[in-house]
Amino acid sequence: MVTNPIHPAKAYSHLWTYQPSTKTVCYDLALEHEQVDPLTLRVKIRQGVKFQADVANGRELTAEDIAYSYTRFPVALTKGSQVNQIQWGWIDKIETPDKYTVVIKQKNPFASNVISLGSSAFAVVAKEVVEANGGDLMKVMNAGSGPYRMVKREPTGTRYERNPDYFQHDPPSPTYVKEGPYIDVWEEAIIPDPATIKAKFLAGELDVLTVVNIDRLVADELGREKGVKVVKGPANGHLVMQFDNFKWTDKRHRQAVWMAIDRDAFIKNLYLGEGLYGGPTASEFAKEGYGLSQDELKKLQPFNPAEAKKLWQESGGAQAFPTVKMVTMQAIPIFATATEFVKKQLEQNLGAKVEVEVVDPATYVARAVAGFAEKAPKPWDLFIAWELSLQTIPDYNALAHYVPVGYGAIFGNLRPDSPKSETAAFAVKMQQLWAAQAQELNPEARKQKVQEIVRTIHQEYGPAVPLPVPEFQYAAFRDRVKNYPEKDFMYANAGTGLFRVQDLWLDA
Amino acid sequence: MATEAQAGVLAGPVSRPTFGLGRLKRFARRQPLGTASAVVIGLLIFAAVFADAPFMRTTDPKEFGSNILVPPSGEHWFGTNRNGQDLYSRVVYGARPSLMVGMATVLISVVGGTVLGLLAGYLGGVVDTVISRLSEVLLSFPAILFGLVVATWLGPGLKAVIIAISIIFTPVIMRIIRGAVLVERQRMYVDAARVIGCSEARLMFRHILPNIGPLVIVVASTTLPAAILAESALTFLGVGLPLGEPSWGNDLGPQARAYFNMAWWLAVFPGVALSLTVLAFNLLGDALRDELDPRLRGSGLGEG
Repeated sequence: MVTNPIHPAKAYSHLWTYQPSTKTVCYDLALEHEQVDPLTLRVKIRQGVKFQADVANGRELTAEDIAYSYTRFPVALTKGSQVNQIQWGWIDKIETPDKYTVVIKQKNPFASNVISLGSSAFAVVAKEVVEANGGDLMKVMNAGSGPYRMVKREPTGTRYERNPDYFQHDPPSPTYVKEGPYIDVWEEAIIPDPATIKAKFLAGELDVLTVVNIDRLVADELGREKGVKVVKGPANGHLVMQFDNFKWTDKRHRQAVWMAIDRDAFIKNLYLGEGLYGGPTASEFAKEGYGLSQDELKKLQPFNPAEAKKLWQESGGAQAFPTVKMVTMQAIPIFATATEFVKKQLEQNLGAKVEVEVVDPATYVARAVAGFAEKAPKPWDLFIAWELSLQTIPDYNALAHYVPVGYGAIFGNLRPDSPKSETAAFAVKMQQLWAAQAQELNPEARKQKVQEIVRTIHQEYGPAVPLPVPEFQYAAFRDRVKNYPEKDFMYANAGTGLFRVQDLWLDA
Repeated sequence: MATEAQAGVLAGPVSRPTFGLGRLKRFARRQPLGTASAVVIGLLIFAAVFADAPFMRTTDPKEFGSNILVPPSGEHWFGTNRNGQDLYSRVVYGARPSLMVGMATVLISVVGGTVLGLLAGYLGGVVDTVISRLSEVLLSFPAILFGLVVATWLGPGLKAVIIAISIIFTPVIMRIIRGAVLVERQRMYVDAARVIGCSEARLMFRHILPNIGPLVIVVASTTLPAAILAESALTFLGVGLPLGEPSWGNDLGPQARAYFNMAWWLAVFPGVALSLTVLAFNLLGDALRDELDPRLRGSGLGEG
């Protein structure tokens, strides 16, 4: 049993997963793939893979299903899907010359196309199930061919049982084993209170504590417990604070907020010194050159309370924002602590009055996307977002918050149809810069282009403030859990962490 | 025709409590626990009022610090929390919202409950039926659940907490007062006052109210600690005071709880402050009841 469901990726099959540490593609449905030319990706898939028994009568999964699944993203977006266009916007059309061949025709070259396809978002679903439910997969428990079947979905958690008809992977890969998966049942508990999560883990009621539940202090404490193993690995998440673009049209207001946050204190207090200046590309990619060095980021994100206050006063910040409204939740401790820290900094360094709404996780997501469809202002002014999923693409992560087809659109803080021209111009510019790097297939040249985006964001004081990110993250396992991927435990397999790894097993 | 004063003499004059020095001394002698509680409450009020005075040696309770989870020491008397904030300062500052909520709630719910109780008990009939049924509806909800709903609806903040808790306590107080008024209105002084032509309003507020005054004081003194506890409970549950505000409920809340078993002081100091305050108000309430209730006064039952 684990805490906090990542998502039901294990109930679905995908073409493959991608392991960032080894830069390895691990085939799931695929048998081979070939980039025929910059605009054509051909994939051969397995024969004899069946949907789950109660999905489409357990019929065979074919190339048609993959084509259907991957071309329904634009429709899904209109129904509230939060899968970024960054991931699928490059797909023009999908051809299926035969039952077991998929040919993806691209609108443009995309350097991260293979990695994107490894994302859990690229789950293969049965067309009949989708259409029978009006396109809303939330209405059904299962619609795929994955190793597990969802058998319970309640506010308190979910339960997955092994799919007895699951196919075998031969040859195996680091993710998929020949006779896997070995674990029969996964139960994922949704527990909003961090203290209860820890207590349940210590009592042996939970086997895994994922990274969202643990900071270094808790990790140190759990590490001293008998029968518990704490794993430390590089963190690859991001933390950004969104502006609502309807309100933050004056660049000086944004600049004042950027300069009012003491990032060194943030790192010292919140991450106990184990933190880095936020990119906004993820730190692991920044180390590879897909982003800026820590030295340069420190220069671009100076803490200057005097200048911040001057800017805030000169630009009428107090009049524009008599109360700065923020939203947070307590289920994931970093959200609440980061919000509390930023609140204090803005009160202290800008003289702003800050009001924080503390909500449950579901409301938090609803608040994030509120106003998107209506093109209306948000019920908040600043919103701290943290992301763990899909840390495999260098131009994704926090960078997606600055791209109109990324979180910039989902949060609504950056889109070409923005009613605020200044932000709209920035959106257009960012879209062009982002597209240029995405289409650059030469890694070294691409790194330069990603760096240019990052510098532009800082020069323009873009629509989201990068906040410091943790340098390391921790997870805890009870002894009976065996063979978990220690190195990639939190970001292996395109963000679904260890939950898609099939060779985990439990000691009796 | 007899005058109103004569009617009062006929009915037996109202014994209005006086609070001279002699009475205070007698109170201290007869109610040592109550007196000690009053001292504690006095200190609490002093701390709340002068929390930011230099002699209190507090620091900004919301300031993040780099000394994280430091045990109690000469520098940090009550240790520090996960955010490196000085727990002593937070406990001292935390007295403010607790007392503010307690006092504001008592003011609203005791005034509201007393007026409604007087109206319902004295007027009876339709007025009594409407007020009593409405209060029964409110009382039918579990108090904390009702508080959660109201506080969530109003959003976080002191005002929301005060309103939520006042709504919880007003019907409770109304029922107590109504019961007392039902007894009082049978008394001869009420008939006497009515005979001399007192208006209903004057009868309720000039004659009956003073006679149930001690009861109102006792009710207020027992409501106050309950309100403080309710504020802490709502804040503990995340719907009370805003995130990060120094308050005993926040300091015992979700953010702190994950660290309780590695830092005992996180639970102990805000917990003791809360318990001590509630205990002090409860003991003072008991002592006041013993002193002000004529049936207990002098019987030995009220001896502290």
